[in-house]
Parts: sequence; structure tokens; C-alpha cells
Amino acid sequence: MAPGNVTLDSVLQHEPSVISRMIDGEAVLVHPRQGKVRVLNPVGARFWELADGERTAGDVARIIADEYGVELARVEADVLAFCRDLMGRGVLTTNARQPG
Amino acid sequence: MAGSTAEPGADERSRATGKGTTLLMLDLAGWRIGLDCQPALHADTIATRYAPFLAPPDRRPDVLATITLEDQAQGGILSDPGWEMRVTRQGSEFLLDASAACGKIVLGSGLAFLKLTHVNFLPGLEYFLRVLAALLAYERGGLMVHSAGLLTGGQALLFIGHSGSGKSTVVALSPHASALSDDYVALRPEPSGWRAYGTPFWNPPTLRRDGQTASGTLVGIYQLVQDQAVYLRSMSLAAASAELVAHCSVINGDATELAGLLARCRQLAEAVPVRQLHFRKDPGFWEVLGSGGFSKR
Repeated sequence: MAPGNVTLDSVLQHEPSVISRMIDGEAVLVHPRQGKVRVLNPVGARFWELADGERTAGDVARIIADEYGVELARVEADVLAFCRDLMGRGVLTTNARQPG
Repeated sequence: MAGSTAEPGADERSRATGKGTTLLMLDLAGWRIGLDCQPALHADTIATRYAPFLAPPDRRPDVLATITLEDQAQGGILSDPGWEMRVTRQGSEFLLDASAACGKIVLGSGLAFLKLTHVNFLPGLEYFLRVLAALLAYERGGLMVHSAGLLTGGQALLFIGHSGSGKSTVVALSPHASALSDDYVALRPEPSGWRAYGTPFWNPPTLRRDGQTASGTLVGIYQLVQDQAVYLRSMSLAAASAELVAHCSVINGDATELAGLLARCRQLAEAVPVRQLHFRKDPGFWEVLGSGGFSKR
């Protein structure tokens, strides 16, 4: 899915080739094909933990809004922007949620 | 054994193998790389280039690399075919491919091969040796880091940064310190901590290479940031680990080793302080390094 098409119903999952590790509450992502490394701050790391191939962007936004006490609409916008950013960097992929 | 190809009286560090080849032994951070030069005719050129790192062939090398220059090598001595090598992994073998060279490294068997097809072959050999050194160091528990290294008072400081970040500048601004390298430093874990070693790998314009065969206890790692202000900034363990991974070329492009590389870089960052050094192009950064316990001596 192109980054611009991600919605709150998109199921989030890690790009399989990316290696990630949690270090002191931050997430280190290493993309082997690009040879690039990125560090996600604690909120970004929490997003990364939740993007497990089962949850949608909307699910993730609701959890983060609840855990951090932030207005849901704002978190949803932030999550979608973050998804587009990570997808553009090739570390996150999405699938449309299957009806059922 | 057939007569040596070396100059009389010159060289106990090369040895004719009796097969029209010459074996050179390089000592890189205590790891030994044997270069079996075929034909022997170009061994002198290689020996001259890596003279400070030649070692007596008194023990089996960690890796024996057969270096072959094709009989019909093409090109002129001033031409440059371009040496950037594509490195791919097939199982336990690393394959290297460039326009005028191809090679293979099989560390498990301690063997490597490089075939060169251009008269101006030294840059290709250098590229190959950088890849080989990175793989060997990693296999032996160490790291080759894209960095500058400086030695002062027996203590080594590492400066990491991509091309253009100022590694060579930091070296040039530090005449009081010995320079281990301005491009590629070898790190070995030892019982007393990590140790940084000089290497033969430099940016070509840098002529002062006084510390390239030296080593010292690694006491600080600095990520270079060019700035108007001069100061140190702390880094989280995650950020420090990530920066180190990003500067361990060759290994950071191998998907099967990434998790291990990240773990090793984390170990390094836990053992040695890693900070950002914001600096201008003047020696003033030594004042902030001095506040961390290191000084111009």
C-alpha cells in the first residue's frame, strides 16, 4: 500500500527485513537493505510495539491516546502521519483490514 | 624453496612460496592477514603500500587471501576503473564484484580470493582489504568502525561520522595526538576493556599517519556534529548503539548479522561513553574534551 493511502483501518506490520530492538525504552530499527538505522523515542517505540500485524492504525491510536492521556483525534492524526513516515522509509507496511 | 623475489637483505616479512608467488603477512590489530600474491611481480608494490603493517610469517594467518593480477591486466597506471565493490552473501561466503575485480571471502575456512584485472590495482586491493578486515574483526569479536581515532597519553578517542562530517579535520586539528586513522579504526574487546588500533585505511590526502600502527585503551566515542558552538551532548544508549551500527560498514549491510551487530554495539556503548561533539573547525573542541578528562598534552 502506498504511504498516502494508509487509513485508520489499515493493519500495521513491520517490514520483515527490519531488525529492531528495545533499548532503555527506545526502539532501534535497522534496515539492512538500506543500511540505515533509526531510533524511535518512547512514544514511537510504543507505536512500534503495537504495530504487530494484528492491530489497525485506529487500534494503535486508541491505545496510545488512552496510555498517554491525549485527545484521540490528535493521536489519530499523529499516528497516520507517523505511519506515512515509516512507510516512506520502508520499515512499515500495511494491509487493509479484512471484513469479517 | 626457490629464490626469494624480495630485495637482498630487505625482507624477512615476505616469503617466496616456490610457486612464482610471494606471501606477505599483514598485522591488523593483532589479526593476521596473509596475502599470497600471484604473480610475485606485484608483491613489492603491495609490500611498499602496506610496509608499516608487514609482519613476519611466523604463524598461520587468520585469513589467507590469494591475490591474483591477471596476465592481461587492462588500463593505464593513471586510469581508474572505479572500485566500489558490490558485496553479497551466499551462505557462509561473501562475494565481491567490481568492474575490474572479483573476489570471495570464506572466513569459516580462513580463505579469501581476489582477482584483479586492471593495471592500477592498488585501490581495488584496498577496498577488498577493508571488507575483509570488517568481516574478520566482526568474526573475532571486534569491530571495524568508520571513524577517526586519536591517541593521547595512551588513551584512544574515537570520532564517528559519515563522509564530510569532519573526521579528517579533527585529525588535522590535533597535532599533539597520534592519529590512528582518519577513516577506519579497528576495535578489539580485551580483558581490560575495548582497545582501538590504527589501520592502513585512510583518506588519501592525509599524509600524517604517525599513529597508524599504534593502539590505546578506548575511553571515549564522539559523534561529530559541525556547529558554531562547541559542546558535548549526551546520547541515549539506544541512539549511541544506533550510531555505532550505522558506522560499521559491511556488517550493517548483512541482514543475518544485524541483530548480533546491534548487540555488540550496545555492549560497546555500555562500556565506553558515547556523546555528540559539536565543534567548529578549530582546536577549541579539545577544551570540552578536556572537561571530560582528556587534554592536550
